[in-house]
Amino acid sequence: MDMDILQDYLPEARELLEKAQENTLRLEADPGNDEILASVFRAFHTLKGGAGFLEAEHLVSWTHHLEDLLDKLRSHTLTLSANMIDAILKGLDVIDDMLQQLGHGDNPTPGPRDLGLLIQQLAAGQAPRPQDASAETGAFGMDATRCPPAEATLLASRRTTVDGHHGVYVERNDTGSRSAPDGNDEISEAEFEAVLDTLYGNQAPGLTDAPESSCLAGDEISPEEFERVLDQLYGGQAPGHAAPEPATQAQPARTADAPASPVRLPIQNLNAQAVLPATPVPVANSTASARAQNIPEAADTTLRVDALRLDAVMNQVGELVLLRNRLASAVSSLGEENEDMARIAREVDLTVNDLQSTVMRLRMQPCKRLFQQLPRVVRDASRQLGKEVKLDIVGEEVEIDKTVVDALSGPMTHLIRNSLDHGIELPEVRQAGGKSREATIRVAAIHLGDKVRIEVSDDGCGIDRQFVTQKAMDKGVITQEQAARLSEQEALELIFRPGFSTKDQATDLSGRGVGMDVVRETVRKLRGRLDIQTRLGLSTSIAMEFPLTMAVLPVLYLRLRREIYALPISSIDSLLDIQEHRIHRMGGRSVYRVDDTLVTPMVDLGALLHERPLRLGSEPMEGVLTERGLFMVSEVLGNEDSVVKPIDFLAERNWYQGATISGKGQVVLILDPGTLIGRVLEQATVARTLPTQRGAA
Amino acid sequence: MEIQHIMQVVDASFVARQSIEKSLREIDRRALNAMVLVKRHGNTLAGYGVVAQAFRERAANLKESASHLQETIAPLIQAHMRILQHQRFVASFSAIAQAMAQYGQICASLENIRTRWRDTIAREEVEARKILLRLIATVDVLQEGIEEQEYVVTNGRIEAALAEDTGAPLMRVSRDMGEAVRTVSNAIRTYRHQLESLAYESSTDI
Repeated sequence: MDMDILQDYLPEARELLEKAQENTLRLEADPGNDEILASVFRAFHTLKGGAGFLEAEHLVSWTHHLEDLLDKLRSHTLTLSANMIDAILKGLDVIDDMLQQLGHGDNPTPGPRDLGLLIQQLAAGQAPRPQDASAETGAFGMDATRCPPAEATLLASRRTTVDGHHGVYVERNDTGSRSAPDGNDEISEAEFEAVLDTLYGNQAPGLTDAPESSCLAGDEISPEEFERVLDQLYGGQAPGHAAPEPATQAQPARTADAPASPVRLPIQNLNAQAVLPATPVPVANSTASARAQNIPEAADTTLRVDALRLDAVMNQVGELVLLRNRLASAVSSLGEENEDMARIAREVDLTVNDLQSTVMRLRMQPCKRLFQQLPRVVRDASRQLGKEVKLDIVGEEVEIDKTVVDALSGPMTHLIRNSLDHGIELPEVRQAGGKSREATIRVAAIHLGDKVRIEVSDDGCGIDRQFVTQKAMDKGVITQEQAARLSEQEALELIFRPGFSTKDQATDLSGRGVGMDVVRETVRKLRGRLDIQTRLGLSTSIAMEFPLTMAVLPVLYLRLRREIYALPISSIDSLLDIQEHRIHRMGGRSVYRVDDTLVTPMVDLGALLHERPLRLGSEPMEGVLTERGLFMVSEVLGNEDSVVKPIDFLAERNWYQGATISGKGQVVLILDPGTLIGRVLEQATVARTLPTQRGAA
Repeated sequence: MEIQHIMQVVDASFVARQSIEKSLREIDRRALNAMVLVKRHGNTLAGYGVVAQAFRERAANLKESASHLQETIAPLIQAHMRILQHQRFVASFSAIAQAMAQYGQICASLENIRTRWRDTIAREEVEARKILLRLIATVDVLQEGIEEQEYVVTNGRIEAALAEDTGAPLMRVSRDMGEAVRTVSNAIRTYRHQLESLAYESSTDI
């Protein structure tokens, strides 16, 4: 396997696969859209071409069968059915697996035999096997085998194409729509099979799994041929191909003359389409031509770079940021003695800021990448559950750090499945409750200053706090005493506890108490914030907020007696002067009355980190107000852009996000406000529970 | 100069120092609050970030100036206490001279010593006045710093108005900054009046 080709192939193949999946789902809603059909066909076609170079026989075979099916759909020889959509989507999953195997340097193993046979049967225009037939009724009521032998005729002939290749053309004539030119040419399906057997022996596509050796031989194309295909697709600007070949531009026009409806089965080269498209792509012309005009500019300005290289650049910029901080700190200690140095430090500061934001943008990716898998998840799960769901996606263009996009894929699926399984009611129930039969799940990405908020909301039945609390007690997640003292929000947040589920029986969609825990842990690791809002019977919304970039973390340095810590600025609301008359005790917890509308829990960092509370009046004390509580510290020192270094040697559950190096060269621990608040609330609950238990004893 | 007057200055210095320190801490906190707000809004409030940074830097300069203030107050008090002590000496020598005069005795050296102490007091008063003027000059520097801060606050208000559509509460932040600056400004002005009264009303020259 040529690793250079593989490195170029894999990312492009994944993009093609994602696009193909998106388009397949669009096809389901718009089955008559030839442009989309052509696009999916081209995706399989290109995937196959690349796989041929890599000698990934099974991938070639698999994509070939799917391509074959799409080719017939594209040429209207077959009519799209729900069954076909299912098969194509499952086929895409298989290709995804194969690409992963390729990514690990392995030659892909064969795909599932049953699915392969089904795709071949569908491509051959045969009815699926009985177990599949039940699923044949599509959303749009079409049947892939709607032309039974009695009502249709198939005309087979051997012709030479305009480019000199030989091929057998089989044309289907619907009896109702068109009469056969000659009654003698009418053959039954069995006769058609016999013709294929004569032509291919047992190698006809659609009959058996593609035999490796012959398929490979048939599918093999030369590098020149592959380049020509790429040129056709990319207008001579294929990635990695510097010298465009002018002659290739004429190819689509020439093939445009080929007949549109016949199914072409080339004799000598099954994969001849890889060299020359068997049929033109007329419906995609407008887009394709527009794209062809735009592609040269795009190709000139776009460069595919290994993510590892970007990470390396980002790390180096991180080090530069730390050095900049140290320089700024050193220069400020010089005072006004050296004006030149101060000016240089300011200019370095500005330049590093610019560099940092430029490199940061390199790592930004649109949320579209994160959301594009969701229509498939909704489609599959809603079918499985018998629910009618509409998915609204908003803010696909909002950009966020690549790390977040990569890490959120799983949690987003969990949230959607959870919403479908637990939140959305069955259509009848919705109707009875005065709602529309079709539920709506809304996924939105919103840009909020230095954060991006990702929301998953539904108009389902909401979350019943009492039910959740009862389930948590039943499953031993919390005790009865703890349950009695939970606030409404805390009760809701029980759904994120590991092992918690409102279901007694696990299904393949939910019920193991893992999914929401994964969501919470992922959000925590990404330095994000999780928020849940619900209205019983009406809606639920789960929002995740993430910093715009993971590379640099603006922090606020604070002093706790003699030690210095940092808090992420993203979690800070404001800084306060602690006033004694605003401190109160409520339910065993210390709370601070910020103003007439806000009372928030107090977190004494002295008590928590030094096991010695800060004493107001006898020690200096300032307050840092965060979204979930007020942190008491000795002094707030200032802010800085820091680079987080992981502290892997600590226990999994600790209250530090990592460490950084301050401008003065000190190693400073970065506190995790969410965990600290959680710990304080937990301690308060335990402290309140113990006297109750003692009293009961 | 009377001891009460000195004590008034001591008290005024203490109150002024407390007030200035507290106000400067408040200014620093306001500046940090503004910087946190700016950071939380990404690059959209970069202009206000420059203002907040300048505000904080000037607050640090004010802190530095205020520490010089404290350095000058102690010598001033010390000088005035010494003057009081030496005035007491002169008074004692005068009392002795008067007592001797009752008995018809005159001590030339005693008069000589008394005259020397008076000269010493005059020199010390000149020195104390220099210290006082130095202190007033330091207060002037503080006041100039405050005026610069007021200028920064005005700039901040302009930036806040320009960035109004971002939805960030910059006007409130600017108002808070302005209030913190006004508090320290008032404290310094009051202190300056007290020092001036010491300089121009309590001098033995008047």
